Amino acid sequence: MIKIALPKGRLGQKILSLFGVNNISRKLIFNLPDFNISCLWVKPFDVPVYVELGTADAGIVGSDVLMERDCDVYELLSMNAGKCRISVAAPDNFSDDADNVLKVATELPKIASDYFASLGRMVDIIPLRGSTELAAITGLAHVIVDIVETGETLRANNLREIAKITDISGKVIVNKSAYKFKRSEIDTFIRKVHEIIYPL
Amino acid sequence: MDNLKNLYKSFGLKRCRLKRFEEYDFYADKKDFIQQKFILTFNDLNGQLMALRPDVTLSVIRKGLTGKFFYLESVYRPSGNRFAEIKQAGVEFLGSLNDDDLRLLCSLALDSLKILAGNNNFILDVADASLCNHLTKAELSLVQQRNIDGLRKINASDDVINLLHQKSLSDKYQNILNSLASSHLNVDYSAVSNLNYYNGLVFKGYIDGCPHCVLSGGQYDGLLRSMKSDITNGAGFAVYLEDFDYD
Repeated sequence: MIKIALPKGRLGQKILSLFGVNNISRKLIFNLPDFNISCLWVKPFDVPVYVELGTADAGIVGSDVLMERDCDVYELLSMNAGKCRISVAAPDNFSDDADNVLKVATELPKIASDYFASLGRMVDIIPLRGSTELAAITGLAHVIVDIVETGETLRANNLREIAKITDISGKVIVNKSAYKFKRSEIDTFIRKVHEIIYPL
Repeated sequence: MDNLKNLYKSFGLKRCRLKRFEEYDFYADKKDFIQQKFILTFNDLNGQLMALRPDVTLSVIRKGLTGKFFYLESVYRPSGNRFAEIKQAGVEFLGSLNDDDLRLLCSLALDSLKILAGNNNFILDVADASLCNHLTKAELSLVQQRNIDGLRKINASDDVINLLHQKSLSDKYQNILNSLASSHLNVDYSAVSNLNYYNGLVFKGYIDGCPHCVLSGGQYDGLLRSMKSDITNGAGFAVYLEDFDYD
């Protein structure tokens, strides 16, 4: 049985429901015998840690996490299950002044600073752990960089998307060493995931 | 490390001993070869900025010697949030290289893995860097991740994607692999590293139960050229000993 790290939260729930698991107990480690896997239920940003250090043989994680944190793993499958994007959003009445240092609140500081550096824009990145919308509403920051799915949360808080940075998708990542020695088990798992995500 | 030392000596390799530090600029120029952003520096008594060795191959090349060498040295690199002293063993062949030399190098890499693996299984991934010269930087990094979806997304050619399905190397190198007749050899183009420096045979070694790559190397004529060395051919590998109880 191979070990798979799954991300707590939206993406992880979606994957589990595709696997036919709808009630998640409080157990952080559980087996899915149909898939011949044992699942580790971890925070999204910890998925690459578990995989890179080999405690999990493979993991499923959003590409935003991989962009935010360099890691040396194989990326064997992309899934467009989420249809999310990373965007810059601002209050409805925001108008940009290119002479000002732009204050950017975000849970994704590396992605945000890489993006604004590519535009040659001076920014002050304010790293937060969640509810970044509040930073734009309260004036803690001029704009936010965040994951957008439907845009409803933005609209509910009088914010609008002003630029898309990139689309994000789910990725199956695999420990390089584990792939040498458990290749057929890992390939079988990936084939099953592929069949579920892209049914013929 | 005695058994590695004895292995290398038994094939007539000479031990190369090196200084622990060199001028900072010497390493800073080659940051993309040593793949380290952070180098441990200090000021020498005359004010010159010096660096504790983050890599051994560069120092071996700088000596300008030709022949077959091995080393047992420490390198200084970040590990977690701190700098750490990490033990390395390695082999460098400098001067003209023929097929027999490359065969010996591969066989030493396999034997080194066998010593470290004990009763565990091990794999030496090999690839031919010269078939990857036409790859863009983005394509190379996707190949290293075996990211076929990513390659399709940037419209990489079928030639590039097919590298990841290759089961054999070009004749020259395949003959060398065949003569070694080892079930531990595996052709895998994700082993290809920096193409500015590596050409020809490249390899990476893994041991079952050890989560990261424990051996890495290849032929590095490009590195010699970039260092304006008089030597035209060079190849070698390093073994990372941090996960093993060796002294």
